[in-house]
Amino acid sequence: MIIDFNAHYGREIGTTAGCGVEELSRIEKSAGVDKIIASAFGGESNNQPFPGNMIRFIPIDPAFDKDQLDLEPFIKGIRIYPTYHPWDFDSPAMADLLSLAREKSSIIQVYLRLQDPRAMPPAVPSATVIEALDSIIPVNSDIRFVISGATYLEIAANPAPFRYNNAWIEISHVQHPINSLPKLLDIIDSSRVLYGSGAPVLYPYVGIFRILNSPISQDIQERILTRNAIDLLGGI
Amino acid sequence: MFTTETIKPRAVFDFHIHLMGEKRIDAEFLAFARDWNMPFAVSCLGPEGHMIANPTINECRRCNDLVIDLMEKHPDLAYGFCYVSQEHEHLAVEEVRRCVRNGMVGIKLWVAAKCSDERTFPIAEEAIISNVPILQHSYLRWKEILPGESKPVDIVQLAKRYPKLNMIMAHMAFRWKEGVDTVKECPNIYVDTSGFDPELGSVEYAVENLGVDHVLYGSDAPGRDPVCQLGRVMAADISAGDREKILHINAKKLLGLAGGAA
Repeated sequence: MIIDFNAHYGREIGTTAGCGVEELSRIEKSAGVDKIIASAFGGESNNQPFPGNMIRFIPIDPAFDKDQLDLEPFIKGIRIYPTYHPWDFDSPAMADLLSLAREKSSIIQVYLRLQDPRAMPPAVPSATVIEALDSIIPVNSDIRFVISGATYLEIAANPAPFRYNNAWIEISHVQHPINSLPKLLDIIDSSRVLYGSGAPVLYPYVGIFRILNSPISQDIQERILTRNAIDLLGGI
Repeated sequence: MFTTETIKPRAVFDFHIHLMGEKRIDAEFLAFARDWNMPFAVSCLGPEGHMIANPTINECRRCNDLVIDLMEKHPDLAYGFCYVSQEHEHLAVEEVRRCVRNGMVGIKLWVAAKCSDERTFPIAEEAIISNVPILQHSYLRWKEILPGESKPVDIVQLAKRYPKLNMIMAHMAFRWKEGVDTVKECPNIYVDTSGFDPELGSVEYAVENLGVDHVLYGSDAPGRDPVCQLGRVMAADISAGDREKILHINAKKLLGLAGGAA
């Protein structure tokens, strides 16, 4: 079973036209993905019916209203995009988010990028967000964080927030330099690394191909493609 | 679960490699190329680990000497592209001649000047005489940062002026739909798939609009991870025959190497 921890549906994701739920499901199936962690983007409704191969996370921005949010259908996870929707990490909104995640045992998935910054420019530098995560993750050790969209060079420059026991890394944007995955595994434990595709911005099969063709053991390949995600989600 | 035996491509020619002039990095890429049995087109844009946008003629010569040395040491893998700058005018042409005499098979132009600049014309004429293609860096940015960076329209201008010249628009110009749409009217322009994120649909769009024979696999390694860039072609929704053409047959045909017949 291959689990994609990074997919979206909706219109206009960066410079990409985007796609609906059914089309995303088809694209992922054709790449060999069995389960998709997906959320809405670009104004798409969160509440449309989901195919059985998808698990919903809910995307929120700093203007969210905790009392209006129906978290039940998305109880597994919440996604935030702090390089695109600037968060004050000391704000009441962030406190609400952390309290929600704690109350519902939800994962918080933090995006640093969805597309090349030259195509989808960030409002906040990724390094600034990584620094903030280094403060937030260790003091919320009962909440599980997934960091998406980081590059190998960003992780190598400031690996601390990626190494906490309650942090995982999704690797759709670990694409530089040569041998980037084995290099990542030199500094991050393989039990913390998750396959994510970035679909429909990126081809979902690229991540699978690179994991299976990188000089890493079959055990680690299977961890990244499947087992780490199952452990993190508490089963499928 | 997939197995590596079933998904590794049979043959690959990487059309876009940089020799960095830094031993550790260059050795790492060579080990990769040897492991994958993957020949490659290679240029050096700086002899000491960083690329030089406006090199002196001596820096170009040092870069090209490194590539010639690599070709001599790895004749089964390395196919050199000569780095020149339009700023050196007749000296650039002489450098192309020297490099072709030493076995190089192409010319690399980067960002010293746009390829529509008239100082490119003598280089283009020498490319036609020497029967070698020009690989032109091209990046369509939202915010221009390099005044000498060629856009697809610059490549079209040069290709139309010299219909016998074969040109490769590198990186599909980053904004790949616009890049492909701009150059599709010119049968002497190819694109390589290197140096940008593996965006869904990019390969299919090039094949549909340019014809598969005009699409070349390239990675931009070692800066980019070649396994991820290869994954783009392996992921594309195209026929097995078209994939083979993109991965190696088109490159070999363009460079006149064995294995270039479909």
